[in-house]
Amino acid sequence: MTLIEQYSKLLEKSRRQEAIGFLKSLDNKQKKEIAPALKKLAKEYLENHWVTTGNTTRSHQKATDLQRDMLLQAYFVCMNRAEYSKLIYSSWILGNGLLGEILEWYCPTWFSDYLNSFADNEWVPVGLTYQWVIELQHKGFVSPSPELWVKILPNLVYESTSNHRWLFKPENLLQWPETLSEHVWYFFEWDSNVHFSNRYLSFKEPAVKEKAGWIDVFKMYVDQGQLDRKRVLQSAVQATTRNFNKNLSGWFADLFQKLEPTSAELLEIQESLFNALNSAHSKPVNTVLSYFKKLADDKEFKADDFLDHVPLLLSSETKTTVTSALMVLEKLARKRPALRGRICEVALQALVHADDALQTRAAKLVQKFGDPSLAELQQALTLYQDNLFSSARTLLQAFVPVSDISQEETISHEIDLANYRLSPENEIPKIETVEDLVFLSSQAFDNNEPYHIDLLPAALIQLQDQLKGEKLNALQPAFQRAYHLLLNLGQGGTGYLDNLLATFFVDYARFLFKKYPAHTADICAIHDSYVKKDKETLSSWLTQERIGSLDNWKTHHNDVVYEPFKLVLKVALEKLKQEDQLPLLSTPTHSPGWVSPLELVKRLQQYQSCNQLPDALDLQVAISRCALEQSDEALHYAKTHLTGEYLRLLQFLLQKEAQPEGPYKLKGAWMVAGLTKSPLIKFPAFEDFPFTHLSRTVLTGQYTWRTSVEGYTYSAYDHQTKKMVKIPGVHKVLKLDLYQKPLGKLESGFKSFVAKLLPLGKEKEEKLFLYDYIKLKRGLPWNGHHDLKRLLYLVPNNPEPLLGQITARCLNYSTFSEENEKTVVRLTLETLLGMWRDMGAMAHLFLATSMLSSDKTVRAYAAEIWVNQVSQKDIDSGLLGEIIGIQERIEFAPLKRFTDLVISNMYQISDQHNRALETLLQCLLSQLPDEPIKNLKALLQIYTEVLALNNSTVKDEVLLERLAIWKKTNSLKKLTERLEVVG
Amino acid sequence: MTDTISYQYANPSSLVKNASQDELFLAQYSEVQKKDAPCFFTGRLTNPYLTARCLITLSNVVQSSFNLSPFQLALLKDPIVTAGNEKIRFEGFSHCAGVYARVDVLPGGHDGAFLENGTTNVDFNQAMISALSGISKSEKVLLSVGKKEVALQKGAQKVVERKVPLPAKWIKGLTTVQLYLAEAEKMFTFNRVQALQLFQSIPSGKPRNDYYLVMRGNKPMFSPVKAAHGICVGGVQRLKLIEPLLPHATELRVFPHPTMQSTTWQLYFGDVRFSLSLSRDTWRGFSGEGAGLEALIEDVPDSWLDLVDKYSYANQEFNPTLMAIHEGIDLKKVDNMTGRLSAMGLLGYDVDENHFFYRRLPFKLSRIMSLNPRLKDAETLLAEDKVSILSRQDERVEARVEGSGVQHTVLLEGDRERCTCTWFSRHQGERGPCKHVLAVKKKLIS
Repeated sequence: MTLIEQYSKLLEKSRRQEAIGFLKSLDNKQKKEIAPALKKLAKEYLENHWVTTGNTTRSHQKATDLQRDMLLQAYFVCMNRAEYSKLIYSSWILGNGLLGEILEWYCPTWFSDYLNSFADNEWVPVGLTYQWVIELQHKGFVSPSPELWVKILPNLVYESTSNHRWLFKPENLLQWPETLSEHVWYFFEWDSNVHFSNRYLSFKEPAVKEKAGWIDVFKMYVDQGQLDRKRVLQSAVQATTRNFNKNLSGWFADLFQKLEPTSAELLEIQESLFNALNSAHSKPVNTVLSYFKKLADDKEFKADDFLDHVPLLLSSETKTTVTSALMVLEKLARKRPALRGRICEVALQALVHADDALQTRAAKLVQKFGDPSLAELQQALTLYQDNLFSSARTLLQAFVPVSDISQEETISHEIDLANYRLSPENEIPKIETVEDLVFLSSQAFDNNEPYHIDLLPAALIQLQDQLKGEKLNALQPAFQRAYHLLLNLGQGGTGYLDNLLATFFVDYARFLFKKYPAHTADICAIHDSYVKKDKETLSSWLTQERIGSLDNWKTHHNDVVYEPFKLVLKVALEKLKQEDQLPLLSTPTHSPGWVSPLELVKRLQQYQSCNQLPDALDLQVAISRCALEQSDEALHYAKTHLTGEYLRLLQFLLQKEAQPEGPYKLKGAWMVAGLTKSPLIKFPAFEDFPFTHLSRTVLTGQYTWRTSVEGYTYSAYDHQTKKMVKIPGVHKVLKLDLYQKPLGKLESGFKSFVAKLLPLGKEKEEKLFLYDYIKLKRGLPWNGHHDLKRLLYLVPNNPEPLLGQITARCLNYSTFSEENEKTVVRLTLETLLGMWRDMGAMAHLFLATSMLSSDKTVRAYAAEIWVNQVSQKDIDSGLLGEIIGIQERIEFAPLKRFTDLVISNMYQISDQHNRALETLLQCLLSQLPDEPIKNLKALLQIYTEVLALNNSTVKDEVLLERLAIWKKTNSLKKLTERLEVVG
Repeated sequence: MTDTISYQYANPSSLVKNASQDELFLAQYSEVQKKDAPCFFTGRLTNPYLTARCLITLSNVVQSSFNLSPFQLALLKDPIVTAGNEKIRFEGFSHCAGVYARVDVLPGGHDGAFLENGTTNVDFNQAMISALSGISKSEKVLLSVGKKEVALQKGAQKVVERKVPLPAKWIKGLTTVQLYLAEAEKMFTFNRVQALQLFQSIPSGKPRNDYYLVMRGNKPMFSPVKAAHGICVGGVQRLKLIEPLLPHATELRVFPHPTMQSTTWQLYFGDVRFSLSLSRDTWRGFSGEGAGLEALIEDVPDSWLDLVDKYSYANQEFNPTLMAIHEGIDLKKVDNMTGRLSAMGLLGYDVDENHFFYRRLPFKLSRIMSLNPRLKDAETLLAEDKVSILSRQDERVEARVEGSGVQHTVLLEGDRERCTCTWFSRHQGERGPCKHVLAVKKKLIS
């Protein structure tokens, strides 16, 4: 019988003692010999299988508990560390039970390293106890590392009872002398869980838990004199700077406090205390500072060393730290006149914080102890001058005269950004050669720009007579990517419109196959392979092919807002089929989606000279995208090259004061021109146009809105009754009246259905109207990062209808409920920055609500738009303030979001901005209720600062009345009185 | 070439506290140095407190990762040290290879002897880092890089073998980042107050969008709004790594890459400097940027490497023209020499002094050269004869390269190069040339 057969038999019959005897008899060679077969045995016995009996399926293992233990022992004796560690349940062997029978006659060389490796584990195996390890160490089997000691030592003071309750047994530490003399000190040097060793334990007496932590253990043995008190104090302080996590560092600070160090002790270890100020966490720092407040009066306190650390403290983001540091400085300044100059100089560093209380404290200190004639102090103060609040400014007046530097020119870059839509840098490079087109077609499906959806079809039309024969093969990579995109909907941030462009391109391929069969064999092969793949992947959840045709393209929710793009692409495809080289009118000339008026005139001229009518919707989109600037040249060109209705239309669009002039054939285009030029003006000439099914509010986006508190209920589990219960709650909601009654008579449902089925006849074309599609029917624009931008750039001169719909869907609560909403708002703000001009109330509502949103980036973006538009004198700050005020009447969002935003992004930009901010705040405050809302004080403080900066006073009667009411509230009394005085 | 590199340190790095002074011993290991590891530097640090703070920050950088799981975070990488020419430079990368940090201890920052010039890995263990945090302002610290008799060791000598996954990205990043640094230009200098104000405006959390450093009067701030003259920073939260150093710094200088592919933030503490370079975004490591690929199209003759060794020692300014003149190398060939040598891990770049310095990475050259998959792919395309030049007129070359299932068009027109592949279409050349362009260029040279 071979060795493994012998062992297998013993295992099968579960004869453990005999198996141990067998293992003991093996020499090294024999161990190696049976190792491979042992692996197979372990697999056979320990691997879990699913077993089905009747209706139940359960996991099953061949080995009994005893057989598992036998295999662990055999593995331990015959395998090397790597093999042993791989075995399932390998750590179960730890402890006296299984290894006690082996270690006396066999201890592998790797055993010590194996045990130490558990120091890096998240968890400690049950058998790996302190008691067992120290026993092993005494017997010379292992050399435990400090990391392992700190891992297993915390549990030594807890013992479990039979009923799963725990006992606190600190006396266990006295069983071995090295525990207190050596091992407990490792806690101060190595990362451990000593701080929450008792967190999950349930004690026999509940009151014990509060006093059963390791802090109590240390305190007890320090008090008993069994641990060196000074060493514990010093080690605890030093441990706070050892890169431990926040909780562990804080625990050492707690331990230090618990020991109640005396002043003499503190002075003795003050070097370590200074070093603790470098801790990355605020608790140790604040603990040390609380002691320094007491020590500062002592002449043995090393003030110079403290001053070395002050910059670190005063730049802290924790307000308590800065305040405490300033308090210590104040004490030092009082006691040590010789240091006053240096103290004042460092104290100034607290002025970096945009916080009135901190600045005032620092300024008072400097005012009291500083020498105004000291050049160093004056120079240091100049660094903070722009950052000073009025109280600090007043206190420090003697040190530096207040400068009157105007800051009007500080934000020139933003002005550049939005002012010139038709600037040369925004010009979209022209596609002039087939090579350009080849590379554009590849790019259009990858690193695409918002305008690629228009540029690609335009370039195909323009170069259609050159793109033929062999040259078509250069489009292979682009076709491949279009097909790939269609099969991988949504991948890589692609949106519906990317999908639409790919569908157009595939339809173009189909057209090429017919027209140039000889030169499109390779492209056709690509087409066939993807179509095949598409068919093969159809399944129960994917029932429709993804490679479809442009005619049948639609979004999942049939959103109409994508239709204008589809219709224009259809026009483009038709032009390619008809070999019509007349350009599309709506193709942007300037990034991201503007059409230059001159280019529009030139394109129209081409149609006029061929006596052809442009597509109605293409013309409307072109007018809608027209950048209404630098229009003189375009007007001049129009007058000399256009005639009839085109000329009248363009004159109306481009001349500021021009009124519409009939007769009107292109009614949709006239209507769009009116909404593009002056969205809020109603032109009487258009009253008879067939677009009365849409109300003015829908066309202009000037929806009415309100905020209200609404009740709702939600279900939650009640642990006491053990039932699901309905719990009432309230939420604050912003509502817009998006549904507007049409002005005219609606077409009957049947008639409209039939109309949709009919081909695009002349009558239907006359009724085509871009604004019929400006509806976010369901959900939000999809995840494609360009979709939203592209949709907004359908109506860049009048985006408020879309802004209203986005506000209603994404900003209805002050906290975003999903990531997509946040992204949509951020992208909308980003797009709005480039198109803001003469915006109405809806854009202001969108901006104001964004300023209160739960996302900091969104708030910062909104503030940046305000900064930019104030510079251009193109925003109504009063209206913005009024909207925020109305929303905050019910505290729609925490006011702190807004006050923090003002301080960080809107305050002290320039004199012009300060004046606009004053208007904004005044209108905001006037809207607030008599009962002060939370954080009103902070808002009033900012208002006071802004008034001081502007040398202004409160003039508004409503606000003065409000201030008189708020004065009755104690916390606001001082501030309101100050404001009333200046009023 | 294995995926694991074993650092074998004779002893772990440690900080030993003595009554008179502390001794900071940095154990070193290099797979290209001779076996009996020399001591590179031994001497006193003139500003031990700040040097220690900088080294702790460096350790935070090498431990950080902005795109990986916590498991990988735990793998502390060892920085490399270059000693020579009176300077000691510590370099390291974040695990994701998107953040590069360097501590420069300049001539006044130490008082000691450079016993050897060279570059080596040094052991950064947690115990040593913890001990570094205990160095106070009044302490005296002796630093030794590499073993010397004075380095104190208790008990028996034991070889410390640390197996860490080979940071392939790390090595590649070390070569690529130098090219970005070389192109960077200083745009802002901020005093401490301005630097603190700027960092106060870093948004909390992990913003996904880019932020732009803009000036508001005298006050710098980060704004999410794209600004024409602002410095664009992706993954701005990564800057928080140097926040603890700000209160100590006298100045912060910002060096953006001309096309904002990276930004370098340099803090000044007298004779100690800390610089942090950020890649374009958190998900883009310097390793994948391919900035050095162009330089590697042509093979580098072995004789050049010998020459570089002959003419340079660690940290010395590298002057290719001078070397070419001395050795009679055709100046045209030297044109791109610095790019090529730094892509091979032989040069570092100092943005302050505006020159390359010699620093041979302590990794086998074959290992470094094996880290350019795009270049290898290009070679495969050539080997499989998938590149055909369609036309070549003056500076215009049109080529066809066989891709997967399609024919790609490559067009080289002077400095402008275009390809129809996905890589090029997506990045438009911002992240180095694609394998098709590389293959065409290699074919043209051959």
